[in-house]
Amino acid sequence: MPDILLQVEGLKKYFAVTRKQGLRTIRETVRAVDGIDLIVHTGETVGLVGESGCGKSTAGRAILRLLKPTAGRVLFEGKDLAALRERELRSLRRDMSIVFQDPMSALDPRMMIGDIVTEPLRAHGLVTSRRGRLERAGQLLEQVGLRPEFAARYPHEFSGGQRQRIGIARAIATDPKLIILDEPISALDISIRAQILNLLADLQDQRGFAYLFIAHDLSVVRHLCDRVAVMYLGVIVEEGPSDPLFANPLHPYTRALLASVPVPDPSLRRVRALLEGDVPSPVAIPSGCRFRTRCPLAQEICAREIPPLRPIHPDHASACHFAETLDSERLAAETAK
Amino acid sequence: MSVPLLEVDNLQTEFHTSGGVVRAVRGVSFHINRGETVGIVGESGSGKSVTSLSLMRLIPNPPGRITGGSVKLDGQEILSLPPRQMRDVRGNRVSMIFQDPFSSLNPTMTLGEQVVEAIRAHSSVSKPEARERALELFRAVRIPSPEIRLKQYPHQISGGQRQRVMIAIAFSTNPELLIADEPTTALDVTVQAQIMSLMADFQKRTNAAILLITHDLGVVAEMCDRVLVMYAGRIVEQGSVEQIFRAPKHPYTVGLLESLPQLNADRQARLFSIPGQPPDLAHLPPGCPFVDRCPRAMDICPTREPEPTEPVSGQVVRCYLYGG
Repeated sequence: MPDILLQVEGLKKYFAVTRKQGLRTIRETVRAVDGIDLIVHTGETVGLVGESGCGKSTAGRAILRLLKPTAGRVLFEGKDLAALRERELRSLRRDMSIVFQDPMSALDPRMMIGDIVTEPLRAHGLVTSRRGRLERAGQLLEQVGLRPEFAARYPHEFSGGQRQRIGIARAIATDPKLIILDEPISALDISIRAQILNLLADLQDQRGFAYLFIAHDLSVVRHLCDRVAVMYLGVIVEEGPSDPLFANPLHPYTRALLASVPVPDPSLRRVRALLEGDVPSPVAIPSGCRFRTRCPLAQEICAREIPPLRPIHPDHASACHFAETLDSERLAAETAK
Repeated sequence: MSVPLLEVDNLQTEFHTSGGVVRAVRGVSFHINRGETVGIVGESGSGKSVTSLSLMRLIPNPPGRITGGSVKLDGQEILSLPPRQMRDVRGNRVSMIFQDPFSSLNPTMTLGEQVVEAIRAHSSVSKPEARERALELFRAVRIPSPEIRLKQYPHQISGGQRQRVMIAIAFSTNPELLIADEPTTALDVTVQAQIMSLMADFQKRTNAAILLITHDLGVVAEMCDRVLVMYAGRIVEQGSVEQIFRAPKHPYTVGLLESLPQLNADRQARLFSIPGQPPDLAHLPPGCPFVDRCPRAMDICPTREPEPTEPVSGQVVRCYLYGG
C-alpha cells in the first residue's frame, strides 16, 4: 500500500444563517459537513460523490483551508494543517491545488493566460522573473495540450474546454502531490468531457498526482476513481474501492443513486425504484439515520439510532443498520444463480 | 397513415449579431406522431434549443428571425398564424417546460395563483373550480402537502418541487404536444428520475407527444422512441432509439456514444474522444461542418455539404459514407 498523503478526521464545517419569521430573526446552523473521515494515498484517485447540497464541495474547500473548518483535523503527509504557522502552511500549499467547476468564472479576464497559469509560481516565489515564468507557462500549456503561444492571449479568446485545460495547467504549475478536482467536467459539452478526462488520466500517469475527485456524475466517478466515498447530508454513508462499491452497494442511498442514473442503452430501460421526495434541509437534519426520511428500508431503529460508518468487508464500509442484510441478500441471490 | 401531429420542413433560423449572421438552424426537417417521444440531442450551439423555440415562434426578433421553412401542427401551418391564434396554440395545444424552473415562475405570486391564472387563461372556469383543478394537478405531480404548497412562493420550495409546479402548469391545459427543453438538467439524479417518470405517466394518460431537448444521452435512451442528432444547425442523423444507440451511422453520433464513460463497464484506461471543437456558426466552411473532427473524412467532405440519405428504413444520415 502506498503512503497516506491526506488524512481527514472528523471534519466539520458549519455555517450560521439567519432567517426572518415575521419580525423575529431566527439564527440557525447549516451543518454542511458534519464529521467526515477520508484518506487519500499517494498517486490515488478518490471520488467524493453526492447530490447538490450534500457538502462535497464544502468538504473540498475545508480540506484546503480555503474555508476554516469548524472542527476536525486535516493531516497532509502527517502534518496537521491547523497547527502549522502561516509560513509553513504556505509552503505546504504548493503541494495541493484545486481545479474548479466553471472554467468561465475561474480565470481572471484581465490577466494574460501566461500570467494565470504561472500565478502559483509567483505567489510561492518559485520563479521570480516574469520572463522565466512566461517561458514556464509555454511548457505548462503544452502539457495540457494547448499551444505555447496561447500564453500571450486572454481568457475570452478560449472555449470552455480550452479554459478548463488552462485551469488544469495552473493547478499543476507547482508540481503538487494532491489536486482537488471540483466537478471539473460538468460544465463542459459531452464531446469535450472525454478529452479532459483523458488529459487528467495522462497527467496522473506521467506525474503521479493524487486526485480527490468531487462529482455528482457516477459514471464519470466509476471511470476515473480507485476508491469512492458517497456523501449524503454532510456525512459519508458508504466508502470502498470502486468495483465492489458499484457492483455491490451496501447502502440504500448508493443503490438509489445508481438506479437513478439514466443509462445510454435503450435495451436497459428499467422499472426503477424511485426515491421519494427531496433531500432534507441541512438546517433540520432528521434524527437517527439522515437518509431514513427517503429510505425504502427504514425501520423504527433508524429514527432512534445513528448508524455509524463501519466496515462490512475489510475495506468497504457502510453507515446503514441493515448493511449486513443487504450484503447477505446479494450473496444469496448470487448463489441461487 | 394519418397526418403526424407535428411536421417540420426545412426550418431555418438566423441571428444577426455584431460578429456576423449566425445560422443557428439550417434546414431542419422532422415529424412527431401522437403519443410519441422524440429526443433532440446535441451540444451547446448545435441549434437544438433554437429549433424548439422556433417551433413556438419564441425567437426574440431582433436579433433572431425564422427565415424559411414550415411548421405544421395537425396539418395546419403555424408559422403564418396571426399572433392571437398563435397564443392559443401555445397555451392550449402545446406546452413548454424549460431548464431553469426558477426563472420561469413569477417570484411575487404564490404558486397557487400562478397555476390558477394559467388554467383560467386558457379555459373559462370559475376561480374556485380552477383552484380545485390546481390542487388536483399538484397531487398528480406528487407535490407533498399540496394545500400548503399552493399558498407558498417559488423561493420557498426546492428546485425539484419548482420543476413539478412547472409540469403541473404545462399539463393544466392537456396539451397535445409537450416541448421540454433540458427539463432535468438543473436537478439531481434522484429527482431527475422522479420528473422523468411524471412526464411518462402524463403521456400514458393523455397520448400527448413529447419533444425532449437534452444533451444527456442516458435520458434519451430511457425516454425516447426516436432521436434527432444535431450538429452545427443541422440534423446529421435521425432514427429510432434502437438504430441510434445500436447502429449509429454518422461519425459524430458514433464518436459521442463511444466517448461516454459507462456505469456498468469495467474501468477503462482511456476514453475515446472526439478531437477539436464545433465550428463557429457565423463562419461556416463550405463542406461538412464535422470534417475537421471526423476520423473518416474523405476528399469530397470539405468541398460541399452532404445531402440526407436513408441507408436503412427510418434512419436518415447526412454523410458521404452513405451516399450523401
